[in-house]
Amino acid sequence: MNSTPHPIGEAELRMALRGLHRDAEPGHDLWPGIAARIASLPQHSQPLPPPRPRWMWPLATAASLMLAVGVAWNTQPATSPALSGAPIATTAAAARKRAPLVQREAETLTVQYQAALRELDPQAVPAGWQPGLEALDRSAAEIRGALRRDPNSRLLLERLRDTYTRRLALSRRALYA
Amino acid sequence: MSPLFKNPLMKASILALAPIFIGMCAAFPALAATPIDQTHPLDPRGRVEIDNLKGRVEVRAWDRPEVKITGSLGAGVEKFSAEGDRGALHIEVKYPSRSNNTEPTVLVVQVPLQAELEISTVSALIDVHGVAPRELSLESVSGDIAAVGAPRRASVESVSGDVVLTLNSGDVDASSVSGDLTLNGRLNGEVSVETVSGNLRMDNRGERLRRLSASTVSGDIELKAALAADGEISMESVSGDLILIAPRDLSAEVSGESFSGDLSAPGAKIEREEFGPGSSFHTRYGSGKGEVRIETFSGDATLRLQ
Repeated sequence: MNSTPHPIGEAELRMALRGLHRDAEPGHDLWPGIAARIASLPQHSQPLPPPRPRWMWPLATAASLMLAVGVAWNTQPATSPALSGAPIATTAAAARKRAPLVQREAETLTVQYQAALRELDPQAVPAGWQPGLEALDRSAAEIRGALRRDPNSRLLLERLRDTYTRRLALSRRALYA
Repeated sequence: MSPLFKNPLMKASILALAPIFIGMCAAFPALAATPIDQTHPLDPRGRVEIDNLKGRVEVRAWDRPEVKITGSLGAGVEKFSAEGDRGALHIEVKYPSRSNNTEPTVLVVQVPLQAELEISTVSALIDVHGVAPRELSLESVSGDIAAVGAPRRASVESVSGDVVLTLNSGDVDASSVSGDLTLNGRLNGEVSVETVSGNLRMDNRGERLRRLSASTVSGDIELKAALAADGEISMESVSGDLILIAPRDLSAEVSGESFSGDLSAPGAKIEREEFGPGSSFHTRYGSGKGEVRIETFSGDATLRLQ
């Protein structure tokens, strides 16, 4: 072995290997602002810390794209088509104002997500990618349904955000497959 | 003209057999595969990167300061390359863009025991055994991933393929979308595991983790984990059921919350909302040095001590 500094010693390495055979966010992400607004809400219980496991694929790019498209979207007239299964088809201003903050954030996130997705999805995706994309779509629909039952759930909003981010990242990655 | 074709009967026979011959070639693509046999020098703690779209990538560790690549290139591969120096070697199988008329490639790669390893595939299976690098990174879209080793840190990602890991490691970050994820081994640092709809199982073999985060949307999660003093465990799901199995000497403040799922923890009183759905509990085990938080929307959550 060479003399390159290494945090694991030979003895530790042997210990680590032993028995194995037996065992055979980007700065302009939307989320910080949303999280800050949610954090200012009255607390029902101790909130879970945001679990942010690292996702190796280009989440930063996807999140930035969500932001970019979201900004563009917000500057356009409200002409969004109804989204199948999404609770945002009718976004009358009065109804939105009455809705809980978490629900409003979810609706905003969904509009921005759908806009970003339209930019990515027209391309045919190789068959091997479909199961994952469909699983994410089903999960997003499930979470949106759950949010209709519990429009104050931070857990659901965070899961929705993660699911959207993964879906956009995967779609983008599929484009270059 | 060949004498064969001068005979009308023979010519007709050859023309009749030609489609059968072509069909046989298509049915047995391995016949068209090209064998690979290369050896490249690499420092014992060098870096190996492998990209293979489809087929299989097998990696085995050995004690030599070199990388040996064997296997077979599938028909239709655009380019195979193994380039780099003693510090880093990049092995790539390049396929024509979006071509369906290519065959899978099998790579069998022997690497120095402690060489850093990064493997990326789309549909190719990944099978890694016996390595002990500082960093291990495995990524696949639809191919299954299996790894046995002792990396210092491991990062594993799959979309629809199943993941089975046996790792004696400090830190592990593993995720899947619809594939099932199984993580076993002596894990004693920070572990983050996540699925979307796949089921997730983890057993850290009695080691004590500093931090464990597990989350899913609709998959079920079962964790068997011990916690270091002041350690933290966080589990979340939307509709998936959560089970945490901890040792009887667990020392932690434990809280659970669910909108419509059933909660269960030894000795804990489950508080239910007076009006409408929702339940929660908060209890302490031992001196309560660590912290465990469990939250679901509609999935059940259970803590067991054993």
